[in-house]
Amino acid sequence: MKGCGLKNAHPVVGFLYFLSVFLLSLSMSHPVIAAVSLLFAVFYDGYLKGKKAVKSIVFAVVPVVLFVPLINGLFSHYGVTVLFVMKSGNSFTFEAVVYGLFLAVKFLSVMFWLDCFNEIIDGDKFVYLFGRFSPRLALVISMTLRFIPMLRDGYSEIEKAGRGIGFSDSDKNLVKKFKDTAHKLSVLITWVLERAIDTSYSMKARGYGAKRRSAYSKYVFTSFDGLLCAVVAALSGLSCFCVFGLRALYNPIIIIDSFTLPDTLSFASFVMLLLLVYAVDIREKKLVKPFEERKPDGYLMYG
Amino acid sequence: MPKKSKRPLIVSLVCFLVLCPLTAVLGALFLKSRSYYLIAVVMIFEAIVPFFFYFEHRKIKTSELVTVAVMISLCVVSRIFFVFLPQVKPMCAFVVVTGCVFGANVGFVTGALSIFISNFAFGQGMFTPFQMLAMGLCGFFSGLIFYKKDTVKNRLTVALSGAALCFFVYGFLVDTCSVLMLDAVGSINEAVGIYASGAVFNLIHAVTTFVVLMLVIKPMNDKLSRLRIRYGIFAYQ
Amino acid sequence: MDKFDFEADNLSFFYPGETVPALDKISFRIAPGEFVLITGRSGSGKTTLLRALKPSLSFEGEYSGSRLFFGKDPASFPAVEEAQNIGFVLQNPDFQAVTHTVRSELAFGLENLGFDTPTIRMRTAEAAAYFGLEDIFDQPLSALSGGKLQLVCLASIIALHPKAILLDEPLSQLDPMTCDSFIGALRRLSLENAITVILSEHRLEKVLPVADRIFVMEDGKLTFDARPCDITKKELEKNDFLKAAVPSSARIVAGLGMEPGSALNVRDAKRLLDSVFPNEPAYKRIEREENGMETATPAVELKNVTFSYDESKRVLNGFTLTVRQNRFVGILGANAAGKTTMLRLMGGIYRSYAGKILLFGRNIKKYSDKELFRGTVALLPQKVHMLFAGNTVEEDLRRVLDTVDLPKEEKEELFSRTVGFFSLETLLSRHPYDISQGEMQRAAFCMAMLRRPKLLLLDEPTKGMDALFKRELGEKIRSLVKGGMTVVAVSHDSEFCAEYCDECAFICDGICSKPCPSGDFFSDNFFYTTEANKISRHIFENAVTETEVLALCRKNQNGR
Repeated sequence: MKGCGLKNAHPVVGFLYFLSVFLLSLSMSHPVIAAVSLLFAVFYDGYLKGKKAVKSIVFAVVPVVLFVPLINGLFSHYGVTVLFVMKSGNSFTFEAVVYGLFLAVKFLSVMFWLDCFNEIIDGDKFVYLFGRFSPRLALVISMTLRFIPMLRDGYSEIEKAGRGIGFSDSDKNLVKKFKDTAHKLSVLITWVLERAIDTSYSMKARGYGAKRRSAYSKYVFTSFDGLLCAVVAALSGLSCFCVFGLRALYNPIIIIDSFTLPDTLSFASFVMLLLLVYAVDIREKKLVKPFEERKPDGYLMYG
Repeated sequence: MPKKSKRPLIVSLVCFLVLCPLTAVLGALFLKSRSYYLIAVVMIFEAIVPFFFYFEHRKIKTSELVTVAVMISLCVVSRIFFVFLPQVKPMCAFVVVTGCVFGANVGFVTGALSIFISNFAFGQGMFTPFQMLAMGLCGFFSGLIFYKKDTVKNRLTVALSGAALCFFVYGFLVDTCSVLMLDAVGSINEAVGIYASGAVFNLIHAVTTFVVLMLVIKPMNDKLSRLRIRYGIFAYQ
Repeated sequence: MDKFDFEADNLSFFYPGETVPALDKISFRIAPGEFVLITGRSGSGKTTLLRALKPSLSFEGEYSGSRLFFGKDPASFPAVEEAQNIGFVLQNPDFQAVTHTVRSELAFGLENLGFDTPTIRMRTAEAAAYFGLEDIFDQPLSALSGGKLQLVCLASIIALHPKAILLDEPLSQLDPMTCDSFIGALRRLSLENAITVILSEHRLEKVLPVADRIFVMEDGKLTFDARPCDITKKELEKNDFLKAAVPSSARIVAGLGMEPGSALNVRDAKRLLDSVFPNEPAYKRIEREENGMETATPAVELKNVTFSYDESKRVLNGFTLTVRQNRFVGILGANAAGKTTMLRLMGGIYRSYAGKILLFGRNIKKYSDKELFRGTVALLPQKVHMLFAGNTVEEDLRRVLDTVDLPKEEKEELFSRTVGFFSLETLLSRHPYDISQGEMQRAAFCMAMLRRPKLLLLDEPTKGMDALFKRELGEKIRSLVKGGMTVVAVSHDSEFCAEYCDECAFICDGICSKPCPSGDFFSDNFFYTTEANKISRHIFENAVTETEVLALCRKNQNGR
């Protein structure tokens, strides 16, 4: 499975990785770095989601890249290269459009990283994270995740039950239909509120509140997870140098810092950080391989 | 009466009076031209922590905790249920009801967690922290104003303030997120443009909240007061 | 001195402000490892008693007399020790589970008691392995069936290594198959791990064979406390509930003048019957009246109906069934055989399918919703609470009444007549969730009857009902059928169908057998039949109910 390296790793690794990437992506002001970040984000998103990603790439990239520069151009009038003068008398400048383009790229890169984040980090990992800091909150989240599908299934039961005794939902009358839906929701809410008392009994029966609660999780922090954390931290630290050091100005004229040798090295570590996820995946696949390879031997024995 | 722990108070004071201003100042000094968004997000986290911390440490019955979870699930479901109608989301109304019935702190937690959990379904986005704070504050303020008051009698007031909270607090904060994301802080025109275009959506949201509140306050109050009488859930001391 | 897990001495309990005791001077001692079955009508105090044995769940009110847990009284019994040693399983598995995955649910109790991660990991894995839950270890609970969920709830308690478990009607929401596997698990726990099991249940046929001891509760009193094999004929005659609740083998044996305790299962009863008839009896057949089934006009006809929820599997596949008017037809079948689906198609709830459904000779698709649901057909769901939302039962009933097209006076007349028929007068002002399951079922039935349907569809009407309620329900349905109604019920309950249905049919693999008279239907079946038939089939040809078996016995003994 794609992305399993990071998915199977300890949640701390995933959180740390994405936190670093978000922070770096949000604080960059150099267009080349932003573009690279976006490129990797889109690529990783496609890698994780396959065909599903194409839709979000097309529907997100195109409008944002078109509109943000346009809007920025319409509202901001700084810069020296006037492309044309608008009816209001304000000038539409090249600098404003370029800055808009840069904003769009930066915004998109964060968006796509978030998309990848949503693929890797699921509810369970959040419950784990909350469990560390606030066991009660983690429990509430877990209970909520339990109740939501119950409410969904309960509603469909109620719908059918209601129909069976003559509250049909194919009434043409809109007001009636609305009232009917409201009643069904009322049944649902009564049901879940009344029955939830049982949940509290069941919690008490198993000693909830009797003692300070410990937090169990299925995740095991291996030495490899430790190594990964260290690598992520080191690479992000090195990346800071170019992300914070390199700047670009768009007002009134465009000045973009050029890469010095330390910048290039720092930039390389940033790229390595973004490539790390694939390395982790390759390692994960390696772990599976030996067993697959052994199979033919087994067949031979019986053959 | 057991002695109240001072820790939540200390944590809130530290967060609101020390960390938030510190972040603002440091951010302005070092990160200013890079990302107002980032500074804002950090500040939001610092603002949310005290509420959650207080929730963690307050006394709460098991049955009350379950009821809070039920209310959060209802909020989440109400948001997912209407996913096909943009901005018509009854969630805010349910958060307001929870705040009124269970008090300010539970209101905040319900609002913030509802957004957070429903975003598991929609995908966590750049809006998430802003939405969490905003929805949390809707629950918080309605709890602050209407806790222990007769919401059925004051139905109109509750619904109006719910709509107002929705428009001014939720709408404003979420639009602010757009402003920060597009880095439009520098240009007043652009910021105003974003707020203005957001106003229409916020208005729809506020009207939905008003209508839903008018409809649900009485039945919800019936159901919840029954729990209060029968099982002593969130009974007023 | 002997050690006891639970001891009660003159234990009484009053709910706050009540003068009638909910528990009335109860005394007993339960030794470690005993399997105790508590039975009695709903409202007889079973739950109150079980709760009294678990201090943290005990109802609030006034207790008198003494109760000891492992030799300690409630005041000196620490909460942690209690949580660890006494497990409690509730009736409804859905709301008993607290967290969202099997894994976290198993760990829940252990976390509460502050165990460290390695211990929790071991114990959850052990419990999962014992109950065969490894495959679903990481699944969300929402993906599990009711039976599996109940097993997870039990496993999460066993993970705490309790000395005793209390179970409050844990079987009422389960179908017979999962019911058996659940009881099997309990039996293993009791036999192999010497865990004390105290279980309340009102259907005895499943539990009685595995129980060491049976308590019968009546109005808060413990009226009977003995080993199941010591149930006497006299006791059955004295105790109406017990008589209705014991397996029909016990009743048949008692009817033959022997002690019922000696034959609580089919095998033993069969042996006893053999000893009564060592030679082939003279009369082997029950003569039943022909009820002219081929001549009556059909109420509902399904012709080659095909239906599926997703492309991968057809639930109904060329399903054909004819139900004739003025009959009570029972449809039996395994889980997920498509029973509920069929009912929903008949009731017009699902509308897309291939094939043809005729309702009183007219295509169901030609009916408008109004015609269909208001006066033609009504479907009573399995989960009847899905119909109630009001502050009182009356509010919910009136909501249905409001949409009935009748002049005002007639409406009121209909209302009071229907409410009277179901004897709901005293329940009208109560909150729907304050009345018992059986009462709620009755109220829902009343709701459906307010629609004045010609065809009534029932989904598992006897689920979770005690024997006396069942009898009442059977008689109600009979009188409705007499009045001209057609009733179709899908059910797991062979005994009920044999007793009250005119015709029965069997669903399997998406198709349905032809409905035939209950007597013939059950005497032809091997597994899906009644206990009475299983006991007597090697001697008599077609006796399916106890009355029939006893009638044939008498006929042979008297020579008439």
